[in-house]
Amino acid sequence: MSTEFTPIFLFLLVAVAIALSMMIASAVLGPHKRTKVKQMPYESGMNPFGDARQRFDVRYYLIAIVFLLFDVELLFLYPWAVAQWSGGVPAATSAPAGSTLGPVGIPAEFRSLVFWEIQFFIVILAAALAYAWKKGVFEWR
Amino acid sequence: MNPQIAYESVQQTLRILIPELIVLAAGVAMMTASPFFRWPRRTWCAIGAGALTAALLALLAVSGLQTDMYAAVALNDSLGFYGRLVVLLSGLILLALAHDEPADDTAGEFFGAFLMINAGAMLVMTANELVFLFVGLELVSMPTYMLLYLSRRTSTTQETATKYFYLSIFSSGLLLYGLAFLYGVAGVSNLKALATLSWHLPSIPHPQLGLVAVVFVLAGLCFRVAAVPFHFYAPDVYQGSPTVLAALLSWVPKGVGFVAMVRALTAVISVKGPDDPLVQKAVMISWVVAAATMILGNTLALLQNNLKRLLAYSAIAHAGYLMIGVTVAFANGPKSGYVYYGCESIFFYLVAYALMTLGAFGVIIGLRTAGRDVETVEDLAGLGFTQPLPALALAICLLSLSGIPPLAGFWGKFEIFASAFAASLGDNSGPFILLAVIGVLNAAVGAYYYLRIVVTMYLRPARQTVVPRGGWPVALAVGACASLSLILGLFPGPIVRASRAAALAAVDHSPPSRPQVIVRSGPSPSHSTKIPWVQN
Repeated sequence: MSTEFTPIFLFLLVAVAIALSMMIASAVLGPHKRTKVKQMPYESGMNPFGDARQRFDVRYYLIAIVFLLFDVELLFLYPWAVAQWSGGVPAATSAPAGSTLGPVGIPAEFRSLVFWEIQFFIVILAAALAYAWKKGVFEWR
Repeated sequence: MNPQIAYESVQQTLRILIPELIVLAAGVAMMTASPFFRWPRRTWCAIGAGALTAALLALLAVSGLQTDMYAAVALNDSLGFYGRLVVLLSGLILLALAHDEPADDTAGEFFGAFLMINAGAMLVMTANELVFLFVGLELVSMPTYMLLYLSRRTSTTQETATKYFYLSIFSSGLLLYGLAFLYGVAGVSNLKALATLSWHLPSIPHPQLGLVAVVFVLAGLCFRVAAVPFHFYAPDVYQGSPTVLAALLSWVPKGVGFVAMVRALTAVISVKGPDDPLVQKAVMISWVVAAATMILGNTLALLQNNLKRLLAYSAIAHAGYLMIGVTVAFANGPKSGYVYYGCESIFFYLVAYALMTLGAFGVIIGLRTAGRDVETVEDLAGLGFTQPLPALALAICLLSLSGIPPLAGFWGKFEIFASAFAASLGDNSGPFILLAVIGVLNAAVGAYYYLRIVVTMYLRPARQTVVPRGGWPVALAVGACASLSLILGLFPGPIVRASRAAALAAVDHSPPSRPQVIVRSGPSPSHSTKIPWVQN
């Protein structure tokens, strides 16, 4: 078994240990003065009202799903925008055997393919948005 | 691999995937267009049929193209070609059965999702890479959730959709976890490279990890094929969903799941030969699954009176027979004489099963009684006299399901049991013979509940009038299934040859034609010493 992952396990161990020790220390050492205000649920400074277990309107979830469209879009577009025109060694002076696509960025051969793939991806997302629009997801009746 | 060769490989792959791209593009376009155009469901169905036909022609056009097996994510080998052919043809049959199912205002989404399922199934047939395989399987699952929910807004359907959704997501998680371990076994995600690397190594470096991979991948795929212990959703879901979706669920995930098992598990694991401990454990696990699935499916099917529930348990039983093929395929590595016999019987059985199960469901779709669907066995009483043609088609399909010669199901069972009798782990062939005997006994038990329906149709007096519905598409699809079951039983030769070619392709690990084109993690062990886990 290799020892390559030892630092990662150590890191996890240290992270968990610090978090646990903080919680234990504050529970053991901290003063415990329970006043009525301190027992209230925290609502960012407002006085809480109503029950926390209320139902959300189902349209809220639809909007949240449509938001995911743009969320995923950004997730792909940022790395792509960085990689599209940067780096990329020409094929002749390629990196040593065994490495795949050169050090950074998209190789010159793949640039147009990847570019049009991303355009296609954006078109599909736009189609999904148009679908949601036509279906009336954005009308808050 | 340098970028030039990688680019060529991507181009080749895109070229052989043109049929999938056609189907997928049509599916996406239909989904997007459906709220904008108020067309009747007939139009949407015709567009879907056109897309499937176009894909069929494209598939025939690309049939000669190949990709590099160690560089490409998709293969157009015999398994990829014949598998996609079967998916497209069965897709046309299912489309004919479904043409009357959705309401006009959801027809665009319904047939769009249907096309996506077909595209996903075709991707799995070609898959040569773990991630690609998973994408294909999800492309089958996700539109299925939508279809289950779209069809009817009753509380039963919603319960069914929810049940299937959560269990399917759970099984996808299991599968993905297993695939991660499979990647960890050798550090490559290309399946052919994975098999070749394990073949060149004296033994698999971490057999425990390999075992975890086998267990989890098998578990994830067992859900899709409805094998014990992941079978329990099948009867409820089949009964609660529209009949055409029950037909789809009984065939598409099953075919896809077994091909995925062959691609990702048996073809990779079995290369070590029958002496490897991992192979022996894999054989043991699938032996238990096969025996339990057959016994449970057939026993519980005896108690059913609802037709869809009965066919659901019958689908479970057939998953058990197919698991015999998987068990044999695990044991037959290239070191034993008959490499491809297990895979071959799986492929043949899948084709036969598609015909007979789609035909049986098709007859149920095509009949109505007293203003409702045909539901119980008693509803079919006297059908042989009131509706002779549908009764004949149903009888052929049921006899084929029970494995009576000269029908397709007989040759399917024959191949499966023959492969089990021929298999052995080293000198030990006892477990396989025992499994084959269990299978034969189960087939005899299964014949009882299939024949019970046939007897009800022909020997009982009719109770209420049963009228046909669905028009010529359903009749054509059912007729095609029934007559092909008969023709395939009389002349099994072409399908035997095709499934043999597919089985050979599935276990083919010829050395790379171009030495520099090899998987990402390291050069091939045959001409290099650098393998990621060996250096430590």
